[in-house]
Amino acid sequence: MDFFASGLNALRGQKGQHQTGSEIIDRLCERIEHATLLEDRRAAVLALKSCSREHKRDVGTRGVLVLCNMLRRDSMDIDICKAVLETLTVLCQPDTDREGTIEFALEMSNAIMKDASDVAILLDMLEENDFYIRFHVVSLLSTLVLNNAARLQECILTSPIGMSRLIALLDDRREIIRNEGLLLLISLTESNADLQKIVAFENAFERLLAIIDEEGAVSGGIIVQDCLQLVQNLLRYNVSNQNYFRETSCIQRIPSLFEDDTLDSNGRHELPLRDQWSDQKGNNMIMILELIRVLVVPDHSNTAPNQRSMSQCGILQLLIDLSLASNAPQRVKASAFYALAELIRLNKVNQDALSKAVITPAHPPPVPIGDASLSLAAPSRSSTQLSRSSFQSGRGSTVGDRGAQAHRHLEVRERCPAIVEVVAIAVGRYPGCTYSVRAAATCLFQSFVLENPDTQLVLATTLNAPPEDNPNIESHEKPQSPGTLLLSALQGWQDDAETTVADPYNSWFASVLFSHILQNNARAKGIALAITFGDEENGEDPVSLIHAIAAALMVAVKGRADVRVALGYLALLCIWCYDSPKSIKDFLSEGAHLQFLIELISPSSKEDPMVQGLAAFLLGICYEFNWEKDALITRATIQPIILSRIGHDHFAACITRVRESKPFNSVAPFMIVLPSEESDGKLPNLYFDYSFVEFMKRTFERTQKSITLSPENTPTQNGLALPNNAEIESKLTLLQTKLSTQDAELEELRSQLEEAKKLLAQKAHEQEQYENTLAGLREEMRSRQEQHKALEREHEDLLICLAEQDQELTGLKEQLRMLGVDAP
Amino acid sequence: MSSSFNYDYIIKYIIIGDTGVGKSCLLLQFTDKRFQPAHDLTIGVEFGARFVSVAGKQIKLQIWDTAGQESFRSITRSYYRGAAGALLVYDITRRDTFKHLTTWLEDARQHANANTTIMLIGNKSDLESKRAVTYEEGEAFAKANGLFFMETSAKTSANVEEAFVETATNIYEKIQSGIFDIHNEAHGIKIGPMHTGGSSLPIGAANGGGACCQ
Repeated sequence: MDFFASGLNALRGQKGQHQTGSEIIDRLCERIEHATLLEDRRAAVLALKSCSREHKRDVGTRGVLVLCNMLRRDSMDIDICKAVLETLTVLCQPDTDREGTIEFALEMSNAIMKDASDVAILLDMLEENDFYIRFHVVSLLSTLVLNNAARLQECILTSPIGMSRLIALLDDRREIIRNEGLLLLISLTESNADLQKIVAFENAFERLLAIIDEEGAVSGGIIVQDCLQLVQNLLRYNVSNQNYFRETSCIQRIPSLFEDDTLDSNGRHELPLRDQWSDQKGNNMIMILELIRVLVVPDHSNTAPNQRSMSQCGILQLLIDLSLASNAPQRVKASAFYALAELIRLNKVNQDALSKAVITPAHPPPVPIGDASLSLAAPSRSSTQLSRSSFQSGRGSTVGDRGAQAHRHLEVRERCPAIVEVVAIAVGRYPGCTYSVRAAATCLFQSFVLENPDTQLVLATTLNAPPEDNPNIESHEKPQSPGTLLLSALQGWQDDAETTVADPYNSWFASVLFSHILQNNARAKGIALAITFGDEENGEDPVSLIHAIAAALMVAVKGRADVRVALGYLALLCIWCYDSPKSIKDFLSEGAHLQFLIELISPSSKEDPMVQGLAAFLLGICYEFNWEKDALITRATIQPIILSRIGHDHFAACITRVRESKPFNSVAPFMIVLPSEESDGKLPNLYFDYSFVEFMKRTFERTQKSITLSPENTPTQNGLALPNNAEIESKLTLLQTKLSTQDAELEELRSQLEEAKKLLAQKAHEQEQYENTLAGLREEMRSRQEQHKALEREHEDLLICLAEQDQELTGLKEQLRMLGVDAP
Repeated sequence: MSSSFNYDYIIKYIIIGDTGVGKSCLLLQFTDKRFQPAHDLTIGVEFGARFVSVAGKQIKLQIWDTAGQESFRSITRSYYRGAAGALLVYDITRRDTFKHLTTWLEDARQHANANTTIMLIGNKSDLESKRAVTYEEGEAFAKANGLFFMETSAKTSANVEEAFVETATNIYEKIQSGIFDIHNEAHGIKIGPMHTGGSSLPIGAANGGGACCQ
């Protein structure tokens, strides 16, 4: 008590006069600096701490360096350290309610970090096991990293074992320290590749995966999400760490992250909850899926070996189940589709695995009405669309049918090929699916057929409806194939426009999927050309598929349907007709089609400029590749019409206009719909598919020019039918990537061979040794045998000798007897 | 990738030494069996891995190749403590790289685990005509400081394999004699699943090497 009284008196001043805050702080700082007794310094720092909130500026300006020095000097005193750490943390935290405090907090942080060795002292203090010391050090570091991450990273790197101390926080049994440490590591590793590598070097992957397991994997709490975030920070853009992750067999541990049979508080398995998706579980799962994607980024040297490892350890199957057969929330499914897309991209084995997969499809999501967990869904989509156009007006009744739909959902669904369900989701079979999920499914489909002409052909053949007398006919669902689903979606809106479903994206997604089946595949185009509709027996004229699509296009344009419908059809026709004279011949065999295109493009047309642009592009293609001998409408017919009725300048301008339009240029390489894009019942801003955009960018210039070339030019004369440079280049790059992946594989196989060889050499060496030993043993045996023989001989000799002696003895005995001596 | 599972031990190595002495090339020659004359400057630290066989045991070497430049020195120091083996490399055609060994060694002694096996490597032995440090000098330095010693050529691959394997052999002997605490991964050694009975083999491990060839 004496001590406190004297301390207080000293603070008050000798005559007890009133002192200002800054004077007191001055005194306290002096005392910290100069007091020789530990107790005095301790009392002073506690006092300083107590006024640090009230007089932050004074304490900071006067005291920050004093406090830093105190950490050096009195690092053995736990109470002092605690107080200093707390005070420094307060100084570095901006007050939310006051202006200018952010700058001050930054100033304080920089002052503390000015000398890297001060940070090193903080890191050294982590050796201390005291809860509060560890906790306050982590809090201070977390505050510093928020204020100036770059400087803190620099400081930590100067301390050789600083990082390893921070990582040791993950092993702290006290959860709060472990969790705070985890957050600190996340902030530290966000951008610094050097730190990322050190963290990985310190066995962070193993530690984090162990924590995730311990915390219940995907069903665990936010700590699991944080761990996954850190794993991702370590891997994203960091090739060295990705190699390390694979080399330490961490990919094989990913499947166990999906397991969610955690124990409840009574130690029972929570299996009944397996299918419940809390928000947290959804977040965790999305993080796991992101982790998978980080490892199979397109065009990366690590992707091919990682894809192989992943399918071998069952991740491919897990993703198929999650995206198609589980009742996961739609945002999770969308993520799963993207992960799956990248897992099979340009990987024939994995593409084939998906094509063979059969699943029991999950119940389609209900048409959303205020489902809180599905924030992506657009509950009010119908109401806003009602006013848009007659084409879209049907949606309200669909929503009204929800009761009936929901009932149907409860029926057990039949097993079907996975890819059928992917197509069904994309083309809008399930009105409850969000556009995000449908875009993701489309992305998967693209990845499925990418660089895979065989799959394109297989899918093209499914355009023919499955036989009606199929054994499946007993089922209440009509047998479906990818092709039949596409066809009904492509035409579907026409039939339904006046009745119910009229989502412009049904035909749009179907057009995109279909164009991926046809793109650059003459045989697939041939199969599609042969498809006809209409029952001849009933006196209907058969209509070919390409005509049916053209007709649908005309109806959409004339009916003022949403512009996406027409854009979808036009893009499909462009890809179909490109480099395919037969398709062009069939398309133009109906005179109305040419007429329609001309009218669309003509300068007086009031049509949407993007639709006009694609129509002009299609017309250009129809001229450019119109090489069929017996075509009804030839190049000689088309050119004068274009040049006179449209004019070359206007024709070229139409194409340029779409090329320069915002929707065309803002298409992302991976088809994606952000939840925000479809909120409030809006339609997403998805007008073009990326591969169409790429295709058009590659070819439009030539198409624009081709219209000016004489119709008499033959393909060989003007070289038009030869693939252009861009195409050759793109093929070349594809081949190069293929080559490089193959190279990598070769290299890997080589190294395996090398290992095997070495093993063989080792074995050979061992064998040699054995043989040597064997030879030695044989030699020994031989010499032993010889010895044996020698001994035997000796034995024999001895026997003979004995016999001789015996004989001699008998002779002697005889002689003795004869001499009359009684011999024995 | 079957090989990922079947190991008895994982051992962590670091490669240190002046810039341009051929650290990255040694690693590339060891892991990929190739030589790249114009190798980019290493930024920070790069990772490589390979299996070796020592006394019939499968040992997986995880190797961190560090940048030799002074500016990266503080980063690379973070790797010393967690490594069980260190290859300290100099260039036999550049005397200064040999002179700097003392500094490197001090650094290693200060930050590394006391049991870390250090192998001194005089690289570029193929450039005999430009030699500036004799074999005997290298050997003497190693002997004076208790290091293993070899001259290698990352270009011709001479002794490269041996340098890594001999280091591994020495570490393996230390493990056998109980010098290393193998249950503390901070020392740069980890026991493999083959050791614990292999019951925890993940799916796919049984497919063997054949699966990679599909």
